[in-house]
Amino acid sequence: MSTGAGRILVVDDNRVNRLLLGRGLEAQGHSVEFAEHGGEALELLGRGRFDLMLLDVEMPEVDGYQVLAEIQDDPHLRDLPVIMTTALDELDSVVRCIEMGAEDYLTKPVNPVLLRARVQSSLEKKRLRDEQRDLISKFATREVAEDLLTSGFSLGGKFVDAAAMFCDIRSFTKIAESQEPSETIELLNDYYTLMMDAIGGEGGVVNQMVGDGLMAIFGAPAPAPDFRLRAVRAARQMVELVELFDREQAALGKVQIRIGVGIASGQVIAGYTGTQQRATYTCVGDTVNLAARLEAHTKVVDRPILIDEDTRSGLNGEIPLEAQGELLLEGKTQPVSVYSVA
Amino acid sequence: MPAGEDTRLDPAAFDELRELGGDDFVADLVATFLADAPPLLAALRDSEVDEVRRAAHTLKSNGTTFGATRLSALCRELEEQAKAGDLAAAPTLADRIDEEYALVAAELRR
Repeated sequence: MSTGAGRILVVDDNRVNRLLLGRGLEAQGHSVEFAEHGGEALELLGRGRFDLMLLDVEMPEVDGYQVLAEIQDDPHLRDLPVIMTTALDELDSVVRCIEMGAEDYLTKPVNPVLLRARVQSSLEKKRLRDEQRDLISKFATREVAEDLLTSGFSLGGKFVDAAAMFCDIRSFTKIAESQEPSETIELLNDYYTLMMDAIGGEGGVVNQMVGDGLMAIFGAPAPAPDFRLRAVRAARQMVELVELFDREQAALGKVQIRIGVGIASGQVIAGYTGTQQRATYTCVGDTVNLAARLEAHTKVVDRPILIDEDTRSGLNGEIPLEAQGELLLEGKTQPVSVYSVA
Repeated sequence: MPAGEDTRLDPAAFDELRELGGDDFVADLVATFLADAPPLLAALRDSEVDEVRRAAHTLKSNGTTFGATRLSALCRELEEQAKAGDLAAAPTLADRIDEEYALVAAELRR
């Protein structure tokens, strides 16, 4: 099966070699760009998407080894297949390159038949990897997908500082009973789209969706020092988006919704839970429990957003708050201060 | 050298190049090689070890491309010596490479 044409970067400091390889690849229908040294190659790789790189080992300044090391360190470039192009008497360097992650090699001058075979095979592997990446992204958020691709698949957990957010639709059961099932699903889909836009826009990750409730994490797996502020900004935007959504719903004579959001910050235990076949990025711990309690408490004090003291400490007075007294958590002796966000 | 002292280029290598890109392409390739060679040849003399090694490496590679087997072998010898950090025989080798290159270039220009 032919995998068709690819976009290929040829890196070689020797002009004769660039001409030769370029000609060979173009004759096979590929589009080719050239870099004269490793530095230029890394620059081009940073700017555009390539399906394959043909890389010379021996180059002044940034050589082929350094380019390989750099792309192995970059989660966006790690999947790029690399074919080393080398002289016949340099096969020892090829071994080192393969150990460093290169896919294959060709000796110069390159034989057109071998060139075609190795290029097609590498492009096919690239296509499969892209498909796998797309599949992972569909079932996990971008951050989690990248975390998975960077760290490999490990179920190990760690302590991280993060903000946990819980959100649900008030009186959802009553709403669901009052309308057609298809309308309920449509409503949930609209709701989730809006919430995920707001959360994703502030770098948060939605890691659980159950019925009308969702849980999101800010500050993990990708660290963000201002995760408290991000979580609160996201919550305010969520409430605002729901208000806009309600106006549209009202105009259409459809049911309107209200949400409650609880946010708590501090140390959480984060990691992938599940089995090797099916796993999800999860955070657990007191902070997470507190966020769930705060969300439930929004109904009691009739405020859309409640946060804890730790979250408040990261807002630098940028967001107007109102003290809502204290909340005693089950199993805890010390009550926590609660604030509502305007 | 069994393949005749008077020819410096392996015709099979040339046929492959022609097959790849046709006569115009081969002419371009030759012109590029001839234009890039003089500074590389100059770099074989009175240069740092690393520069000698790299210039010899490039000349070796281009020699192989055009089937200039002897030029390639001489350049490889110099590259190996430079790799070992020994430039004692470099001037002599550079002389032989210059001579060989002159013959190759003359044949390529034909």
